[in-house]
Amino acid sequence: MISTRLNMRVHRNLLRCIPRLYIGKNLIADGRGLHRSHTCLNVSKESNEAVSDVPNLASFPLDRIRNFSIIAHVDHGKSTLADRILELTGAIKKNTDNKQVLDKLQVERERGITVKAQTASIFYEYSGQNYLLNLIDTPGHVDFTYEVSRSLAACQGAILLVDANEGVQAQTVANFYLAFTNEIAIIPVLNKIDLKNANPARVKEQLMNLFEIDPDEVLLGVVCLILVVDGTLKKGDHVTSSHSGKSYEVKDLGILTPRETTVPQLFTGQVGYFTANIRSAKEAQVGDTFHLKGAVCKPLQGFKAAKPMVFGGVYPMDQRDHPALRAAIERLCLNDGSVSVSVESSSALGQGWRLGFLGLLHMDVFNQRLEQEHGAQVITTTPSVPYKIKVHGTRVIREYGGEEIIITNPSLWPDKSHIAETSEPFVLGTIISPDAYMGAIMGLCQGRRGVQHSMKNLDHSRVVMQYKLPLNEIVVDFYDTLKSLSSGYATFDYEDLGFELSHLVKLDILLNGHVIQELSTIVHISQARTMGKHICEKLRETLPKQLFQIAIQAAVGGEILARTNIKAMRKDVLAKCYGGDISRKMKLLKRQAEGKKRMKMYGNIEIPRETFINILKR
Amino acid sequence: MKILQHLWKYHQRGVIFADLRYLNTYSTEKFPSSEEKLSHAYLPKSYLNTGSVYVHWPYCRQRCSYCNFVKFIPHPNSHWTIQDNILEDAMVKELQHNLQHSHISSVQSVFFGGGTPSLARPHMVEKVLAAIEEVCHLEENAEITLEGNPTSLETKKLKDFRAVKGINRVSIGVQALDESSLRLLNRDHSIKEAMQCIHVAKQLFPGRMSIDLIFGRPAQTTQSWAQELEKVLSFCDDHISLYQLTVERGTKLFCQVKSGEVIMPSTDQMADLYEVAVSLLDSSGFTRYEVSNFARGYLAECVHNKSYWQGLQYIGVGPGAHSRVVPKTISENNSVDNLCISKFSRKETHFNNSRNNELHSLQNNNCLSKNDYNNYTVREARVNAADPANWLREVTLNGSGVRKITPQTMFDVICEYVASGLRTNTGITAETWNILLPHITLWEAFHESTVWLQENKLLQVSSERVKATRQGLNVLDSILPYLLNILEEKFTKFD
Repeated sequence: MISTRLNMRVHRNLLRCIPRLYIGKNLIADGRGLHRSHTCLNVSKESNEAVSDVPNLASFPLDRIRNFSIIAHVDHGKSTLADRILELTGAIKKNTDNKQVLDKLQVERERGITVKAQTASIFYEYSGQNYLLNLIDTPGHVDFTYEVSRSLAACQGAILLVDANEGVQAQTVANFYLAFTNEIAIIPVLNKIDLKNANPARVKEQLMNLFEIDPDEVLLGVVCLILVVDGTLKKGDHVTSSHSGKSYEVKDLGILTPRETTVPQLFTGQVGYFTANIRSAKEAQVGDTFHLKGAVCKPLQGFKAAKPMVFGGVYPMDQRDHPALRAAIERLCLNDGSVSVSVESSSALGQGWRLGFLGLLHMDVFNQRLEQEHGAQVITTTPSVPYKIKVHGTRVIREYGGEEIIITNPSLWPDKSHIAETSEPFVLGTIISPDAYMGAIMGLCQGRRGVQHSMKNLDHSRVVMQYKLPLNEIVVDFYDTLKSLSSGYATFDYEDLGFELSHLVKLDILLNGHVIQELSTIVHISQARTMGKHICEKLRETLPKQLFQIAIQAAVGGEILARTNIKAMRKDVLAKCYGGDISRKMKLLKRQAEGKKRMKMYGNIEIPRETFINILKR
Repeated sequence: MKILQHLWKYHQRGVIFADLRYLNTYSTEKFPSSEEKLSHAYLPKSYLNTGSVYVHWPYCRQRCSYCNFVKFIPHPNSHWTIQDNILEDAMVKELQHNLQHSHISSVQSVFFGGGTPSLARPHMVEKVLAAIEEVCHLEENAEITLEGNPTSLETKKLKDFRAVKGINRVSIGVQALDESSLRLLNRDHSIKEAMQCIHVAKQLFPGRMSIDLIFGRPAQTTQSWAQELEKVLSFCDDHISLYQLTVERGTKLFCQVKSGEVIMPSTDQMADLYEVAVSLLDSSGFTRYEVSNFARGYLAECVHNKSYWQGLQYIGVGPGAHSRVVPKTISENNSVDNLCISKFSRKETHFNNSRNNELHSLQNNNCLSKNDYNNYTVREARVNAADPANWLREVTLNGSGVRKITPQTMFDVICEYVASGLRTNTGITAETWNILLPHITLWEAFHESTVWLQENKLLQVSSERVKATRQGLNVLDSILPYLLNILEEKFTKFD
């Protein structure tokens, strides 16, 4: 993928730039915490053998430690560059298998993305001096922005990697701002300049344009890993979390090379990991500050709890797998504290969970990990977002325990008469696309209730569009639609704008007058009719004919917005049923009877699970 | 009293001379007192002592494209081709063996099906009927039906079959009066042959001829179907069986439909075709006495087939034939004569397993407590070996060609009765129900539990009977699963 020529270029850049641009002292003095929660719990045994290779960490003074990140858009070669750096510095053997060394998760390797930040400590000699380089590999995607921001907070420098073919992309912009607001040195590097379609000059122009943009937005998002900000950390130390107040005994600590390698002690300025029998990821919040037990310590700034923005129901395909799926979700959550979990029970889909994710990719990745790493067969429901409702009336306020409530499940939506106002989360979406698709993209955004924020030419053929969009409108298929109407050229990224007032209603689906709770959804008033028609139509297509006619209706409050019918079944009876046919018929009937027992009845209407899945799944 | 009730019922229908065999079945017997009903479950002698016989002739001249029945095309050197006299002798042996091992002392009806039994020698019929009379009583007016195809060859043979003492009813597989349909179905006769056959059969068996028709054929319209049916009605007798063409796995039709070569009518079109036929037949005086069977007058109804739907005993003879029978071994082990339970384990037995060992564990238990409904065998469902050669070997060795025996509890028997009884216009009767399950009345079992089916005009529940309405009959298979679940629920309460 990366040519030798490029390797050399990057190599030279590293040697030249990193020592020169080092501005670490100030940063360290500011104190930026980085904590690695996800490997705390499974330090590998094999790490012992590597201990002897590790130089005494005490021999690296602060001015010979370099913490740096590589930031880039998806597929611009970040992980490959990391692999080559590790090879060139001798941290790993040069080997054809060295692909995405730092991406340990299956989902990371398959998707070619980084989900969890990783660090690799490299010992490197330059001009006769030994340096400790800590490469912090960060996720690129917006869902993991918080993780990126916390990773960058531990760095003194960053390599901004841009593909010379594709040029500046949405994430390049987002990550640039991130690095910029973290006040770290940025080294732009062009990658894949040897490819046929590479246009380094144009990309350079784009980068120049980019740097001139005055950032007015500060992105903050998620975190992981520890940086020793002050003092030292050794095995047996008792440390306390500033966030939870809980104390733990340090069981093991070390650095990543990139394997977990135990060291006896970590010193100020060093990045590494520690384990302390922390049972739940909830106790090991990303961005938390740990201090020696009993010591008075002001928590480092910048911490904020993970805030799920996309919710989805997760149910086992087969209810018998419920315990296994619960175990799988618990295990994955150990590794990812940013997922919120609440038990949910749907009479249609059985026992399941409502999981909150940082974003769409985060949700996809989580579900894929559930399937791949735990072999769980799951049904995931259409993603939704949290809604904020202001209720009125003293009794109602008391009932809900406050004037403002957050609703993540339509079944908990308050009665219309109790609602004073409703709001939903909005995002600022950035789309970069060849200008040929501009019209189609604008149409898409407007159709999704988008309001244009800005539009700018990036170069002679590419535009940057920014739209304010309701998060709800982009959680389902926005990205896929964008990709398909731009022949795959447009890139998309978004940042959180918080809750804003919006006229939201609960759309009910009725079968012969019975509200089917499971099918209720929250929609913007302007979309209620379209959505209602869509669900009615889908039901008409997927609900099997029954013994009597079924009226399907979509309604808001009492008002019917859409309706359709399913005619009664006309014929279903075995033609021939004599002596030899009875056994076979009975077998079939018994099986059908068994199926009916499991089927949930809604006023004598039976809705097969498949129908629910069809309508509720993504 | 019971007899009076029956007579009254038949009087109401305008059929005073009700089928006496039917009355024999349930009513001539002394009925147990209500006390016994509460604590005993049994099948009365009237049930045990009567039954019908089905003889399966396994050969056909050619393979119809839709047929998935057990049949073989004879070839001189094939292992499945057995000489007529050997096959006949084995059938006789099996029949006598099975009758002797049952309680059946009186045979009400005999049905020669297949396959194509009209290909057999008339002598075969003679031998079978003589064999029945040797071991038990063949009722004087027993209905004895022969199935056949309307080829000119078989038409000629009809006379010989008539000459044999016995055959008094024929069922002719006309299937269609449309040449292209006959070709598609791969029938071995023409329209002309069919008409000729009907003409001859009507003369030989006046009032006792049935015609099989198939609807739902590819490219069939309601118009063309109505015309075809009108034509049939112009020369048919008093009985018509109407079957929807179904695509069965393993048939040529299945492959043709799968490959898209043949396109079947949609479910809505099927319903249209069926409704057209039902109303046309109705206006010609035919009663739909079962989902697929139509008769002009009660006497034209097929006694043999009705016995299946009433849940009575039948003995199947020949390769692939099915039986429902209470074997003698079951009640011989019970001290009370009219009690029939067995306590051998509830699992399917294969005949070659030493069934006798299991029978050793039978206990002298003369009453069936409530929870025994789900545990003890009261009847057996048997299936014969399908391949004629295998079947022959079994018969030679064991006297019977049975391959698989499934013990049936009272619950199984009742489920079958409900599922098949509801196919008829008689429905499930309280009388039969009470014999099988005296703990709970038919009304109690179904009145409240099926209110929604009644409200939707699909089911009628009275203290006398439960039956499907006209519309209910059309969608019976979607109703039955609910009823089976209701039954199961009632039965679990006994446990």
